[in-house]
Amino acid sequence: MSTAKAAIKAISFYLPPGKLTNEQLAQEFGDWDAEKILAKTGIAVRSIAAADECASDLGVAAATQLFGSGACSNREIDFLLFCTQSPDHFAPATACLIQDRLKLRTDCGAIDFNLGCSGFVYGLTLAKSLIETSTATNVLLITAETLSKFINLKDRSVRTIFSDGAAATLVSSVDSDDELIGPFVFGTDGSGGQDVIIPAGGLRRPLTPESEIEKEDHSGNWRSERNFYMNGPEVFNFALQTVPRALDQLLRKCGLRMDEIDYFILHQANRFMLDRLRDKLKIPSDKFWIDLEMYGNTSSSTIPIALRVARETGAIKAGDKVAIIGFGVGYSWAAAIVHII
Amino acid sequence: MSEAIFLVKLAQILEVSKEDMTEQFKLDYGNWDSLTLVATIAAIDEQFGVTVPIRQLTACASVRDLLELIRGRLAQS
Repeated sequence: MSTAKAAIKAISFYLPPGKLTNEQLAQEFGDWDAEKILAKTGIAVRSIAAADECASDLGVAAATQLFGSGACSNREIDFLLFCTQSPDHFAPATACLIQDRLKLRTDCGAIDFNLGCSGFVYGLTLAKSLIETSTATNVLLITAETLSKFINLKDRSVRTIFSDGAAATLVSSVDSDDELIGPFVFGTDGSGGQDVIIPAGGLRRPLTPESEIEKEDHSGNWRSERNFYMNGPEVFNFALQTVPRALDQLLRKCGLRMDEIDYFILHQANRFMLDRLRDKLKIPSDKFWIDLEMYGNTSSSTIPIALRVARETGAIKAGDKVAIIGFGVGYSWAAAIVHII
Repeated sequence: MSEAIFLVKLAQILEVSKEDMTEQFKLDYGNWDSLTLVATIAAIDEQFGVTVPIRQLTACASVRDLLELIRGRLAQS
């Protein structure tokens, strides 16, 4: 029966103009060359927000492009979902400030939610729920991150990978016989919370002179308690165990075989991890997205950026069923089927 | 067979000659950076299809310990 279904109508993204290249990293860290960094990470350039550029600014820029494309007008948005781990303030919610800056209607709902690399998939399930319960018609999902503000300049373990950026995704109500977003599978394991963390700066550990003290780790990287920390080997293990299981659960839930999925877009963590996951999942390379070279790991925005670029380059087309999987900080993960319209 | 292939890979990861990579080879985690650790986890997963907990991996003092850890994980799976 044809009823209102949620669908992704348009995606725009914005990367700040500040850039960090492999050549710059090689120069700073001495014992690494630019080609080795590219080979390991798949990343040539990262975008770095300026000191006065916040996640809200990146999100507003992405959404302004979306409205400029004619996909919909700002006055048609009736719900704003903003996903970030680098909010402008503790309070108010950054989404409220963005509502004002984008001149969205004042009868528009607006909330922040705090997730990293799984955030886009969670945002889609929230948007779908709002639309298919007739609570909203046009949901603007903005994912935006400025992790660079938390990254220690002497910590190459994360500086080589992470990039600032934002994506604005329009999820709208359309008449359709078929489900166009979903099914979903979700997962959470907070026992891995310490493996990807900014330890200080919240209320559990307020900023003090002690939290500013930089210490060198086992691999020669420096960071303080106010810096972003990622235990790469533990996260790698987590992904190797979790992503195949989540994909298996998703396939069972939607009743499709691997070869009936037209394309796979995983969170673009880094090339090394994606190569290993593709190999493990036995996905042909022409159905598996790896494109970090000019974008880096933008956390919650890698999947919408990939969906947009894959559509533009023709890797995915209208009618395709695409499996998307986000995984990371939390630990938190989610997978879904998205029908391209 | 896969153990032999794994040892060749491990030699490449640790940048030592494959002739040196015997069961007696000492693993000194003190000299490993996180990329070496990740590459080793990936090689174990690729060759044996199992993941090993980081704490147990870094507790291995020799290649023999590491192979025993892998065999144990294989027996469990």
